[in-house]
Amino acid sequence: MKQKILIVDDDSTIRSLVNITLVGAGYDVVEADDAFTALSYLKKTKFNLIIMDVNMPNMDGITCSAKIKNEADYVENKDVPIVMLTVEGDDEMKARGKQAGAKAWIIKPFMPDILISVVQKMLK
Amino acid sequence: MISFFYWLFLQLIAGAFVWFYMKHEGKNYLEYVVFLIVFSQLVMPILYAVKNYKKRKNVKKELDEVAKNYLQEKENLAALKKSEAENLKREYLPQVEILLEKVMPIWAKHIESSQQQTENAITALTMRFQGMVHILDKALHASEDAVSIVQGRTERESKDVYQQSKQAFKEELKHLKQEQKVIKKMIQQFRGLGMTVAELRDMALDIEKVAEKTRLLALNASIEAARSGEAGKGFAVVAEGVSNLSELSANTSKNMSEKILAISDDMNEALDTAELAAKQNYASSRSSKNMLRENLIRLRQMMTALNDLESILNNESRQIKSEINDVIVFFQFSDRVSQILNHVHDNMKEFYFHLMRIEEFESSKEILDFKRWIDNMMKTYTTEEQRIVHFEEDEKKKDTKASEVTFFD
Repeated sequence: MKQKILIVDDDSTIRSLVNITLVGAGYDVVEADDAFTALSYLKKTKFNLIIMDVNMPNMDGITCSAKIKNEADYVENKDVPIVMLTVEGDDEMKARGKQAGAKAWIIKPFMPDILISVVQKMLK
Repeated sequence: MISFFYWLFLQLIAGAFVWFYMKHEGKNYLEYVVFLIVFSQLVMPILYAVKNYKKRKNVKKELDEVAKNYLQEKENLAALKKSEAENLKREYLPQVEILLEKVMPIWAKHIESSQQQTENAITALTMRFQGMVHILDKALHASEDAVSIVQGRTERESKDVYQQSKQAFKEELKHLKQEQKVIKKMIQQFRGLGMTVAELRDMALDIEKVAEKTRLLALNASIEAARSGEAGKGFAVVAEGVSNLSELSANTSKNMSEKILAISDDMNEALDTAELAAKQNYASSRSSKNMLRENLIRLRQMMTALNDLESILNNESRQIKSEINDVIVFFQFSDRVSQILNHVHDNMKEFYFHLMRIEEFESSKEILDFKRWIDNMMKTYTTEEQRIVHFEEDEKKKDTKASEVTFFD
């Protein structure tokens, strides 16, 4: 059975590119265009990995990650690794991401081979 | 409410007055009720209207006074506002100009950077697509060529190879049959040779017998010669016998020579046949070897063409994969450009609201602190390009962090 990955990004181009890359590598990908949609999916479905943008309208990716890790509604996905995929490269932001429970931080634009290798490492 | 109680009070006074008057005049209750209704409906409203008229007159007077004061205050306020606006313009607008001088070029650069990124990405994408089309075209041609080579060879040349192989086998079979014939002939010749040798053996025995008889006759002749010296006639008989034996020996010798010649001929013929067979065998094997070599060369060419095709297709596939990876990277420009333009949009909106607040005499000091305003703007930057543009750093640093990965333990 294919491993299921949730990609959360407000930019449809990025979602499509991550989708193309990961589906090509043999994964099942679900897309969410903002944090609230992602949280609604996470209430119902168990995922193997979450790829999260940081700068999004309504709720940023770091806040969303903290909710996944701390709130009872998402207990099924509490231990799912989160990879932040963002244009942000600031150390302070990275520290916030780490504190929120992220396992890795990739700076956009991502190279497909690198994204696949990070995903493989996270899913080992 | 006061007016209602006043009206009720008047009603009670009027009722009491009418009741005393009617009692004094000796009127009955029905006349009293009718009179009271008429009095209250006609006289009381008149009395009430008179009372209200006075009150309204006082209220109007008060309102006029308030309106007069209000207009005065309004004029004073307008004068103050005008004065303050003039002061604000004189005092703060130069600061706003400074802010605009600082901010506008940054916004312009952000927009220019976004435009540049868009153009670069689109150009790169176009080139990548052209490259991919070129590679696919090459791969297609190579594939078509290889397929035509392989198909041509498999359809035409493999038929040829089959036909030639078939022909080669036929030839080989023919050669083998010929060789068999030759060998058969050789066997027959050798059989004839064997018979001749047997005859030679018999002849040799005959000669041996003759020799024996000659020896005995010679012995008898010598005995007889010794016994009677005058018996010349006996020597004549012996001489005749020796002559006959000599003739027999000569004939036998002649026959033997003839047989030996025959053997020699047979042997020469057998040798010729063997040589011919050897030559034919050599020619046949050389022809088969050549045909086999040609077929192997053709098969090797086909294998080489297939290997070349595989190599070309593998190489082209790798190139196309690499191009697609680049395309995926370049396509991500839209996210960065979108974020930069959103920030410029938000900053402009914020600036607009500040200007609005200035006009409303609010937050004037806030906008004057343009350094803090720019600092706040800077804090909202998310991309490396925004910081580079803002601080006018080296453009080469732009992509140094792309795809950088940090793992958190």
